[in-house]
Amino acid sequence: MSLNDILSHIRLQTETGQQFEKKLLKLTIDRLMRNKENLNG
Amino acid sequence: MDKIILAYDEDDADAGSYYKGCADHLVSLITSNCHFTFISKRNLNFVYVDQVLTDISEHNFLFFAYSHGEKHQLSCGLGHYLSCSSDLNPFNNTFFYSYACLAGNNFGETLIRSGCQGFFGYKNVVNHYSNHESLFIECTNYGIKMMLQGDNAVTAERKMKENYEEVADNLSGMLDFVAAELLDTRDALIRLGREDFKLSELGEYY
Repeated sequence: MSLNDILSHIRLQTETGQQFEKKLLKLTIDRLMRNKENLNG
Repeated sequence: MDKIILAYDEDDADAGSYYKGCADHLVSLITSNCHFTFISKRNLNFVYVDQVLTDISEHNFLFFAYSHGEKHQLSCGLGHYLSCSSDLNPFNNTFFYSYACLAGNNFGETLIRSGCQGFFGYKNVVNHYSNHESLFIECTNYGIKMMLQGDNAVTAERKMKENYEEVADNLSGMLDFVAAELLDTRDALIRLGREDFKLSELGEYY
């Protein structure tokens, strides 16, 4: 699956796209919790 | 001579190259003088695997599996080759290390009830990116790599999860998709059996 395919799945909110979104959200939260990323307001 | 059984589905259309890569990488990690029994291609079926297990019974061994899986079994294009309904008694006093979707559920638990001392596997569906295959392969085998350096099972599990994080943290930008998959795989990892189990209990594997 290419990057364009992934983005297309996300835009169309297919089941695959929603899974990618969920994993990316989980990644961000995981990094915030392990202090690997900061939120700058 | 200490024994290792290595089952891998190199013929799988989607992930065959990955499974073979994991198997080749594992062989490169074993530096001691072990006897390998390779099970792949047409031999990866329940009849052949059962025969191998019958022949090796009464010996300690390590079993490695790189293939598709389900909650109750390990499978390939020819169907299941090990399942909860197989005779798993030969796994008494052995160690089992696998990369297969879902097999960390009922299958792993049944192995442990059959006397297997330790099990590494995955409780959810896991994926890899084929253009980052070597990176995923090294993560897949990191736990056994640590055990081959003398760590017990629970320490190897912890280091394996930390390695997933470390590798994921070194990826950013467009590679966040890859990092997300690595952390998802970390969360799917499951270890069953004795926490203090060491490979040295079964032979001189390192």
